[in-house]
Amino acid sequence: MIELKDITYKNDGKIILDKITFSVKENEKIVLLGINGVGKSTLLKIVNGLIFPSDGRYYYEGQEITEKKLKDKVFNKFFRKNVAMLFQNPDIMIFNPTVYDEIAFGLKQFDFDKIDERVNYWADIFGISKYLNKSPFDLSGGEKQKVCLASILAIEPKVLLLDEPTSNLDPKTTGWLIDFLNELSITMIITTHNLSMAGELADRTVVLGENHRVLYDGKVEDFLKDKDLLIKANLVHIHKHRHNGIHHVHYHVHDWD
Amino acid sequence: MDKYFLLGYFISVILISIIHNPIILLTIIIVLFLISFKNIIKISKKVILSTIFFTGSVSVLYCIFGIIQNNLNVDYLILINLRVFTLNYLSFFVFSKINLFKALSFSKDLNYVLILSYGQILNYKKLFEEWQLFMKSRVVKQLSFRDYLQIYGHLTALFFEKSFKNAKEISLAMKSRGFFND
Amino acid sequence: MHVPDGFIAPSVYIPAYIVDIGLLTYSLKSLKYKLNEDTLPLLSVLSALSFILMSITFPVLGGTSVHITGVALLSIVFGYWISFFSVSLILFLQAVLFGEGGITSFPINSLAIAFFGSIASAITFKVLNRFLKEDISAFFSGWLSINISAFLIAVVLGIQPIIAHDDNCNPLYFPFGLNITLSALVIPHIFAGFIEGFYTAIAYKILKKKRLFPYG
Repeated sequence: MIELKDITYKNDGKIILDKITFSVKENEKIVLLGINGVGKSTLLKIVNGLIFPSDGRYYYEGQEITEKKLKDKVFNKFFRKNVAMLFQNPDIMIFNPTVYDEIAFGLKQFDFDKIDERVNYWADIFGISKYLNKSPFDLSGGEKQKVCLASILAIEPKVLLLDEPTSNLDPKTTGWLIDFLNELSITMIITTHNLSMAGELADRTVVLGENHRVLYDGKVEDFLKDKDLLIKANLVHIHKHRHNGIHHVHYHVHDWD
Repeated sequence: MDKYFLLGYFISVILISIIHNPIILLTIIIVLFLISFKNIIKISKKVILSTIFFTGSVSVLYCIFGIIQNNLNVDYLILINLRVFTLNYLSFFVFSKINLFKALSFSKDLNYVLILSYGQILNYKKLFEEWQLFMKSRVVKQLSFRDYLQIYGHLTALFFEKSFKNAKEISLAMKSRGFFND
Repeated sequence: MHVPDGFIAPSVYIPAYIVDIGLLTYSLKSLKYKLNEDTLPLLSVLSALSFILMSITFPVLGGTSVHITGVALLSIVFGYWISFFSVSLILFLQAVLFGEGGITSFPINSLAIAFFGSIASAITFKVLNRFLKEDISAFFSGWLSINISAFLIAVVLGIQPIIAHDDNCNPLYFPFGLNITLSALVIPHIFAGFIEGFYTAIAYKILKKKRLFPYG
């Protein structure tokens, strides 16, 4: 469904992504793992057709996605309807006066019928029905995230791209979101720098290394067992610790931030 | 050091803007080229890109009026284009060389407000660009003027909110670092 | 207005600098007296805010776009001294760091756009607000803010050939007189003013609804 071939992205001469190649099948979920600054968000924006690679090709359902192609209004509408992205910062994704309008916005954009019914349906799923007439700006971070997700899922995309979806959430909402995403059967690419989250979100992971290349592509379980790779990805660190007066050294995972 | 450069720059700007002799202006350009030898193309490109719209339209209009009124003064066209190029080349060169914040450090308040603003601008710009990408991702239909008003109105509110929050945070951070102790 | 260096005579921009620096110093001093420790943080975030407001563009007919200044909104919400200082700071940074608008046109822009724009919109709002609805007052305030700036810049450009010309009456700086600059700048801004006006009114209403007002 999604095929990336040797995607390279440069910004001001600096390499952000270096020859990234992998593909994602229909209804497959993958976690894009890597520390901050390896280019995860950039890659997601390329897959969403927002920015375009300096080199390499990107195919969606066999069709190459280029800047020129997306200038075609009919294709642009088809592509945006099918590939949707949840940005990291929910604040920038909100621009309608009420939660209702926020969810209805995409529906109107893509000429859906029965808008009322659909808005209520999605609001119900996300447990935000009581806020429908409220301004989305007054909600908490987790609730805002729910509104954003509802407004994106309402247009029934085939591919959902999520950029660090849990980074602004409290542990309870994080747990809820993980369960929700696990039950959703559409194609998904989720970025995170959080190791323990990776295993909960998907079976397969693509890990970007500090050299901006694909370091690993395979089962999350196997990756988590491979100490050398974990260190190479800079996802774990060796720390000196003191426990009950005894000094020792062990590997340390940094997450649940 | 930067302070004196800045002073020298201001004096040069005034001097260049009272020169009405194309030969002298051309000489200054050559001198500037020699000083900035490595970056001639880069700076020239920037100068042309940033001035072409205004200078170009003025020049073209001046030509049209000149031809209609049979009073086209080519000397003026040469003079104004040379002067615009010289001044803007000088500006781009100087500001790529000096540290503006150091150059303006004669006033503590001015200096800090500039540095703080610059940091905030970069931060806001990033958020704004992210927002533009988001709009690209979600908007496929032509929006009406009314829609734009609503959207920008709410975007404004988002940045206002952020500004109040940041101002408070900066204030606290400055306090904690002892900025107001003297 | 991005007037590059070279079009304005020193006999105009030097006095403009003196007046502008005087006003900026005065505004910073009086703000510090009023706001104390919060002055610098507030001015810096509002400058960044002003930068973003200036990046907002409305698409208009024929594929072109009109960008707003946000001066009226800042001035109504925060008062004209704060608005004047923050907008000027951005105009300055744009001139020296981003290469937009020249260093010699900075004081002209700062006075026309930031100072007179802010003062005119704040006063308009205050006066109209006595007998009109708030958003209507905000609309006129926004409309006037950019029209007064366009008018003043047109005057500054238009007097160049009068104050500086050679013995044969050829211009030395900006070549066109007032009749041309006024019609070229003022007429389009009458229409662009509507966009600034509508924007000011809507944004004011939203800010008010969300209680995003600093002083009460």
